[in-house]
Amino acid sequence: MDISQSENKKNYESRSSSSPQYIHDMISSLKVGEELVEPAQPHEALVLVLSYLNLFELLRMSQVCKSLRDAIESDILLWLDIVVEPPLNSRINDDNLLKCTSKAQGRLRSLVLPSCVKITDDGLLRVIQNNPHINKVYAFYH
Amino acid sequence: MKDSFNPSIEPPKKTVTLVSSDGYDFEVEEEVALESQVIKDGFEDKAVDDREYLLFNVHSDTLELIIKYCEKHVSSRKSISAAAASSSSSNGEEALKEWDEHFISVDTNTLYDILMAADYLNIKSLLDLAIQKVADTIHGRSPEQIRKKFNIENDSIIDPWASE
Repeated sequence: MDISQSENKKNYESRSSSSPQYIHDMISSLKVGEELVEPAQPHEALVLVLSYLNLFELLRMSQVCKSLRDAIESDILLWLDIVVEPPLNSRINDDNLLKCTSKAQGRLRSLVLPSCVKITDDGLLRVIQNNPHINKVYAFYH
Repeated sequence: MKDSFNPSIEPPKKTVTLVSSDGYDFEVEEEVALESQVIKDGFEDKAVDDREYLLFNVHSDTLELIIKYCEKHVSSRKSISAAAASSSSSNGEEALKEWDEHFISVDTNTLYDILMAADYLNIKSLLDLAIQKVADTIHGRSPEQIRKKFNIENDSIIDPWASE
């Protein structure tokens, strides 16, 4: 049996992107080891890591660059079970929550909101209405 | 006369050949190669005298590391279960964890290579180990620090959580 590329179940597209000029101006200061390495598109290995990250780390990764943001926003599996851990829990409001949960495209399965003081009953209700299959909601205060 | 099974004679170790993307042959014991779920899945269909696997996606440098990992895990599993059978105390699991941690402490590019190879070959424990290592690196870093650490260009997007 030859294990060929096509048998690799996951096929991550590399997304091309033109880099703006100011990036090239910035890179002269960046050093990796002793050689200068030009910043590039994220390695596809990073896409495999996404499912291991918590919500806070996921949101940070989505700010790193466009291709990571696209990978994160388009992967519905990353958004089916949302746990709002510190430090996000004290900051998240109804709008943020709706935005996050909307990425599950109506298929949110569970939502855990520990001490999310800015979330109102109305906000929570809207999330539940938008996600009829949700089967677990924990909202509690310490 | 029928041959009877004689447990005192160990059969010779069966081997398979793994060929790296740059054309190097690695002869490894069958049980080591079977750590890869992908190899395991196709194993039964292959003729016994033709157990050669062309790994188009794995460079010899990486394959060497992967084999080292699999050999270590096969032998550790054996000694752990042997220790358990003789009910002697063993810190095998812990020692293996330490070994893993040392094994995966490599530069970012090597880590990427190991991660992609573990995914390609479907070696679950190694994939978990490599992914956790990258996740640990992401943990506690700002987007800018992540860019620096992983050498990613900033194609400037709007912060969806302006309070970051």
